Amino acid sequence: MSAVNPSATVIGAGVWGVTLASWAGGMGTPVRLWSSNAEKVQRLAEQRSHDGLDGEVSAQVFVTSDLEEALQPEMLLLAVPPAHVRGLVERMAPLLRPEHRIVHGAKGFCADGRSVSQVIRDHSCVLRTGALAGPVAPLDLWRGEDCAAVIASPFSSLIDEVCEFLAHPQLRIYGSLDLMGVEVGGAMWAPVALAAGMISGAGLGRALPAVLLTRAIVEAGRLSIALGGTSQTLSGLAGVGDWMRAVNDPEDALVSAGAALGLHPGHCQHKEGASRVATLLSLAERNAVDMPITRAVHEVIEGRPLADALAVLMDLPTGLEGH
Amino acid sequence: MLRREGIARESIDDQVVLSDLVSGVEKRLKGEKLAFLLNECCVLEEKRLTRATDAGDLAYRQRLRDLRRRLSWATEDELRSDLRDLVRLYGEEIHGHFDASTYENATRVLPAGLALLLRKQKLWSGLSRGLRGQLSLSEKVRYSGAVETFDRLVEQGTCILVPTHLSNLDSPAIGFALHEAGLPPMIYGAGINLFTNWLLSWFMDHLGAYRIDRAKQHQLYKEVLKEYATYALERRWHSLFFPGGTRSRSGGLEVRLKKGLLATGLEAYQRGLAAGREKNRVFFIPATINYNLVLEAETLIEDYLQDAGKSRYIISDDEFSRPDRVLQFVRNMLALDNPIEVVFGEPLDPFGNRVNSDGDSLDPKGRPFDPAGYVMTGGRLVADAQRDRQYTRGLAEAITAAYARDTILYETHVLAAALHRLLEARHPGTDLFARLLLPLEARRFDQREVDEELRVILAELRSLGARGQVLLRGHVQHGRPEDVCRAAVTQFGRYHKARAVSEDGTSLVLDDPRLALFYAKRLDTYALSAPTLARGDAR
Repeated sequence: MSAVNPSATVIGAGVWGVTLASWAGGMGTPVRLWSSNAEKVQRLAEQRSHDGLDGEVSAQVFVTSDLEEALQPEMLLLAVPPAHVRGLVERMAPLLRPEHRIVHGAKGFCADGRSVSQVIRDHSCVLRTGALAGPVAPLDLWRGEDCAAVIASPFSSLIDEVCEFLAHPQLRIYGSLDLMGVEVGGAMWAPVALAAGMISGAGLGRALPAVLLTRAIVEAGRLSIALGGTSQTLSGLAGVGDWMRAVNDPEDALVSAGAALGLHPGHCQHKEGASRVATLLSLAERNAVDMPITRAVHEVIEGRPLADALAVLMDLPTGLEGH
Repeated sequence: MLRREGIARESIDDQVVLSDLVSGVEKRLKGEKLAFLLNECCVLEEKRLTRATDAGDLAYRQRLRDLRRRLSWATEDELRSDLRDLVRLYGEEIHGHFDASTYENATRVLPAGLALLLRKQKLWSGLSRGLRGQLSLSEKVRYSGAVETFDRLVEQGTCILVPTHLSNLDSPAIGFALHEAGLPPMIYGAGINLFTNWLLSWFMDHLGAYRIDRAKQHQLYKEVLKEYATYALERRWHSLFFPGGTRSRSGGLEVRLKKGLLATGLEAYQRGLAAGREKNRVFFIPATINYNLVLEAETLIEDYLQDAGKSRYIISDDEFSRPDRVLQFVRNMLALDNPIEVVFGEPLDPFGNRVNSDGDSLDPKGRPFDPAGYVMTGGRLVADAQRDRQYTRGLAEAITAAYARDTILYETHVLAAALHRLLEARHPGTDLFARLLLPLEARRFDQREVDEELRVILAELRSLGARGQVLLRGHVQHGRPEDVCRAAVTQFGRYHKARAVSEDGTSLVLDDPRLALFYAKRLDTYALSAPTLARGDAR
């Protein structure tokens, strides 16, 4: 066990986890980084590097594969995809304490339709949860590009704590009390990014990205309200702010998968993205919420020609904007 | 034998209570602008007492008028002194005078107590009959649920019983159930209007009731009340709150709870932690009080249906103000097959987690833990009002979920719901108020149509019941639709002035759709499928 006493632990040593830990470490805050993969932990500890990132990991990052040691700090940042959240939380739960605050950065709902924060609450004693979202990509942060994010939690003290932990002149962090709205915004990233890719890949014109973004605000807003959040949040950084990044970033993995999918319906190269769309659509249907963009993207994933799916969308009756 | 936990444990010095209350409120209001607070108190109270004629009220109004005039030039010390005087005044009004021997004696004769209150002219014969057990109230007020856990917890910390509230009979019914279960007495806040009957007032005062004057709407009074409730919990006086705040007007389960009072549990817990007090844990015990028929149903539903009525907090002219109606109800209740049933739910901590009988909080998977960490950071107790409001919101959600699980549905609820659902299906797009005004013929249903609707509802309710999401009784549990129908029609004919539902040959008639609505609303909490019309009979 190391002599330093880190104030937080990042759970998950993928690109996102290593970036977050190194970002905080770079500001002089000792951070623990946990991975279940002992080999990866050893490589990170010895070589101070990660395959997906150029450069060195901060010396203030203390890597471990010992979960008990990892859960000693009260502040935990969960940097794993939604599909892995439940298993991980079940593993952590016996060691979690009511003092813990857990913030996740997962964009998407778990396979059973629960939000990540709900899964944490349903499987452990932890009540103080939050989500980090917005147009902040790991590589941007790693390279030190200017960006902004949102930390959402019903607990304003947790918002303050995360701001203090991560905020920097190059990373503006705004707070939101609407955790559900922010989680819906994050989940909507997958259909919007895939759709943005389809539009650019098929060269469908310059107006459609704008239509996509503004209508995505409306349909995600409907789902947010149905799940207890608000619709306004989707007009902020965690909603349209995040999705605008997709429209402007053809190199993003999901966007490029969308471009290929539009040309070859039924063949989505980004399996996890496809699964997040299916989860979101099923959640919307269970709550009787109409999400035509998500449905259209799902249909293309299932094999419907892009032109057909687009024609259905363009043929939908219009009404007052915002409804 | 009286259990010696909680308030029954100690002799209470009223002067100590009042003095502690004054200093507690002073601490609570530290940093507040006292002049603003006192001014609001004076203005609202003077307005409330504009038409006062009672000598006491007039003197109180004059005192506030004098205070208001002095406020603008009063020094901080003078303001504090005025505050102390007012807090003491309200404290004297609020504070109950629990008396263990009165409680012991009263509970021994409680079965007759109700009759005594109702039939003062035949006091002695009523008492003697009661003592001989002829008024066997124990058969009419039953209890079930997590009684053993509750029983263990009263020794581990402070218990706050938080029942549903439908009737003025709730307090005596739950008091009787507690006594029958061998649980200690609880203090509870009762509307000051219930203290107008001298005999009832004396009993309530000595059995643990403290007075709440809901007409006093100013902040200072609310702070005094909250402080009294918190102080009582700190002294480990087990307490009873009706978190719905008032009787359910619609007949439905409470979904919005008064969080101010619930928050006193968390406050008392944190004060106990800070003081390093032993047995500082606070437990909430949700409970449902279930009736086949509710005495005040007609007045309550009228109040619900009148927009203006929604803001009418105290009903002073309901059936409880008419002894003849109360007497008739109690007689009928004693004659009914179905008793009042109190269900004690699984205990919760102030954060909404379940609690085991050792007083440990349980995570969703049943692992025990100490909840102190919720209010600590880095091992230190941290005050955070916003955080605590979130915790209390979570607690309120856990209590309303418990209400849904522990509510008992009877034939009256299910038949009333079936008829209202059919009425809605017959008149799609028509709002509730328009449906209530439909002519009698539009409210007549073929028995087969009703049976079909009942079949659907019963199947769904039984499925919920099998998953532990609701409790069912009588024919609702196992009977056929026609049995449910017959039992409900018989029950509806027992007490209310007008029948909610009656039989007419092969038809069922929704005679009083408003009254039936009161019972139908009990099913609102449960997400049942949309109503259907049998045989496509859309009139």
